[in-house]
Amino acid sequence: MLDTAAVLALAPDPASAKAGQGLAAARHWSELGHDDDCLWGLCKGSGKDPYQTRVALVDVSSSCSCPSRKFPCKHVIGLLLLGAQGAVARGAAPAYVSEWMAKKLERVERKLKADTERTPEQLAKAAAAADKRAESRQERRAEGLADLRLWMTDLVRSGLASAPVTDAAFWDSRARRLVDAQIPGLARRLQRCYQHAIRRADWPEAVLREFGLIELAVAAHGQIESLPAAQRADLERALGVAQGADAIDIEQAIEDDFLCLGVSTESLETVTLQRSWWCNAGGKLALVLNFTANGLPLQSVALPGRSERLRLAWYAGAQPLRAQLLERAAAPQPVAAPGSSVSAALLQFAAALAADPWLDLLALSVRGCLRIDARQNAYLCDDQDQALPLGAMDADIWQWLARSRGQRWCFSGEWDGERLHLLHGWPA
Amino acid sequence: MSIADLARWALLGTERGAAPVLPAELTALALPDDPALGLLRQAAWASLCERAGSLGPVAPAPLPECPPEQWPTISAGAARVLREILIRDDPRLTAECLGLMIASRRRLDEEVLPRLLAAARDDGARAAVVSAGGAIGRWLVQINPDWTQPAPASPDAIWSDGILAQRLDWLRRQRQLDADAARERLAAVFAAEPPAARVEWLATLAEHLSQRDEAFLDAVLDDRRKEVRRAAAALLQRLPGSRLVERAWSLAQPLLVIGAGGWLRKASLEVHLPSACSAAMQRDGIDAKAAAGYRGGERSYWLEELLARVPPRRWCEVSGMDAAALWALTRKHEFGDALRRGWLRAACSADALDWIELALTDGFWLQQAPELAQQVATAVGRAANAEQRIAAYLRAHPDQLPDILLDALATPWSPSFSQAALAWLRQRWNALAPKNRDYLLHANLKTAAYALDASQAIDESGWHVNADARAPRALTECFTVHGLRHQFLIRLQQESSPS
Repeated sequence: MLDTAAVLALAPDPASAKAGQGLAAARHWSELGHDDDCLWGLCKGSGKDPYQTRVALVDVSSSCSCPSRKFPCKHVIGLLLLGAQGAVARGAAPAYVSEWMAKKLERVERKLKADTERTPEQLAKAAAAADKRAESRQERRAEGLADLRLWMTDLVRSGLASAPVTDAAFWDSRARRLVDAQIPGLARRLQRCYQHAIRRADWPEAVLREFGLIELAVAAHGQIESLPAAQRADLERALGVAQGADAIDIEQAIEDDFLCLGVSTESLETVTLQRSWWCNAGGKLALVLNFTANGLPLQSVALPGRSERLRLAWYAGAQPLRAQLLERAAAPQPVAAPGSSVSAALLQFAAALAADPWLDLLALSVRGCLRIDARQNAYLCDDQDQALPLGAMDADIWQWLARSRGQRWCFSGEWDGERLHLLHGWPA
Repeated sequence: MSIADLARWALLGTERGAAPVLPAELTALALPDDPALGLLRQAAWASLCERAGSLGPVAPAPLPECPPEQWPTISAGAARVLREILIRDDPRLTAECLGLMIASRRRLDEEVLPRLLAAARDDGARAAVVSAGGAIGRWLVQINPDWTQPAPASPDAIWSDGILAQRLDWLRRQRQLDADAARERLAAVFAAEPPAARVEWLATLAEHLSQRDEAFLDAVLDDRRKEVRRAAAALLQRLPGSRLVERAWSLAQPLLVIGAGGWLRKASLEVHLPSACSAAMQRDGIDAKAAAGYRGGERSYWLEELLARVPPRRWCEVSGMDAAALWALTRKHEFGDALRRGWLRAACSADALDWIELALTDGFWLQQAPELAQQVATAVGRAANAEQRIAAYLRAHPDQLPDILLDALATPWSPSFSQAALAWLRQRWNALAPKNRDYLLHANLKTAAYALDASQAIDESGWHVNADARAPRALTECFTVHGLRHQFLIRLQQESSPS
């Protein structure tokens, strides 16, 4: 059962959290109960019949018969809060709960069945169709990249100063073409150019950096057939080609105790991306990605600062970083936080960049203290008085200053080549 | 910085500008046939070198050291309740919790402290967070200029250059320290102030009002603006021996001929209305014409205004009758309303609770304009035994909804009054029709949620709730807010008590 803080974190907005708190009292509910799998109750609402609210405990998926468009709704939050308070007794699941659970199970089974129960002819046909689709995708991609190169060279030929760089539509229309050409990775870089143009004083440099990396990808794609598999995988990742299970090297999977260095989330156009960074005692780094459709709550796969016994397999790459979580086991040995100096951390980033020039972010761990300069810029400073500039002076930085009291700690964060975005910290 | 040189070239355009002088490894990437494509390749190389070769700046100076803590943090249980409270973003609840923590010498934990400092809406709220934040709170404020209170400007600078709100605030504080000096400061500049501001300036004199203010206020009665004269008159009528009171008394006394009753005759009250509103009366803040919507004629209005300026006990003294007997004489009188309203207004100015009690008892106060009802409630709330008076009122009037009376009381309410108020609220809730009660009682429930004694839990079982209808919002909110206050206090007390 989740605790109160975790339940409130699930609420889609503060209003739902507040409304959920109001419903976390037994007087609003009837037929409350839970078993090993599920938590349920009937909540009085404005309708004639009470709302049927149920939550599966294993994955905190939920369902409620109320008309709310929020997910989870206030009734689910209220029910989970009651559960967290220990105010729900064990009982036998009523029909509306067991039917819902049965339907959930049926959906999973149907998907598994669809994948396994295919004849060899069907499989061969599907493979041929997949090859054809891949070929067509490759052609569209090549066309899209050639078109993009032409557009970029035209821009720098006539001068960026004469281009409407602060007009969102200018970048969006080109980015949409890239998405159509199935190169969403480069489309994101173009959208980033717009952000640079409206936010940064040094936008010509920032835009040119992105253009340089895009040109590098276009040039590399021209000789993709001759690239080694690992570099090809890095290029495909830069282009935004979805990497399937076949890109995972299961043979090289590692089972070990890993420390979660931090978790960050980013809203993309239609999905929310969660990045969790892991590191074992030997310093092997793993990035586990978790996607969820916008509007749906992200199920946090990791708690920063906590060690877990994991079986991880890495996706192909010149310096494999992204990993797939295969298995999770209990009772790990705690892994110590791997802090280093600023120069050692920057060397680590340089090595990763040498392997994958399109690498945007890398988790670094540095032992040092947080400081602020006269202009209210924050830094993480090591014992040699070398510093890493931190991201914008936001609530997170003040939170870490309060926790560490300006003392020497080990901090982890995502380094983007210019700034470190703090994720977690441990007393050194 | 090669990338900066390249960016300047790209900004101008390769067609227009000449290629910058670049290091050899970048020059080797140039494409003479297609300088634009060459520029993009040079940018790729330069930016990669720059990112990979970044060294990081030199560290800024160390921060001042954070001193050790004197107080322990609140327990995990209290912190959990506090987090639930903070989600509600309710400054009143937050301020109460901070006050309780400071009183029990416990401090906020580091997890919520920066968030509260950032969320504080004004300097006062932030000062409370800093007090409850311990050494770490003071240290954070020291290193964040956004949270540091600016050094107070010198009094003379505020007085001469400040905006109206700052000057009013300064004078109000000055009035607490030296009432006479504050008045003299005001008197020196009063005439030059704009008319709207003059009314606000006079309001600052309401605190620590004394006979020594009379000369200044009496002079203000010659002001050109009616509103200013009226504000000055309202203050002067609070001074029992002021010249304004004496003038009103000399005019009002002949108007009421009160005959005390005896064994063989009934008490009588003969009223002669003023024949005109003289210039002297107008100077004392009485309008020649009654306000629009006044129930009665002009002459009864003048009578009421005169009565409102005379302490009501004087009528007892001249007639030999007590307040109740005089009040009873007005019940069926032709000018009863004007008489009672005048006396009630005078009673509020003079804190004459025996008269106010009469208006409360017969419900006269509830039939008056909201301003007068509010004055009554404020006067009752100011009384030493205000809770007992209001508890008695609730017992005698179980069917009324005296929001403003409950609001006038100091919070939190005492345990005994909390019980009485809660019992009354529950009885009202259960007696009212289910359809209306949440709406009709929402103001009382809201007041009670924050004011009820937090050490007592509310027994929710005695409140009738229609099982088929939607959950009553105001009642639910009341239970939730009070429940959070109760839980926080209990957890704080548990950890503070010696084990």
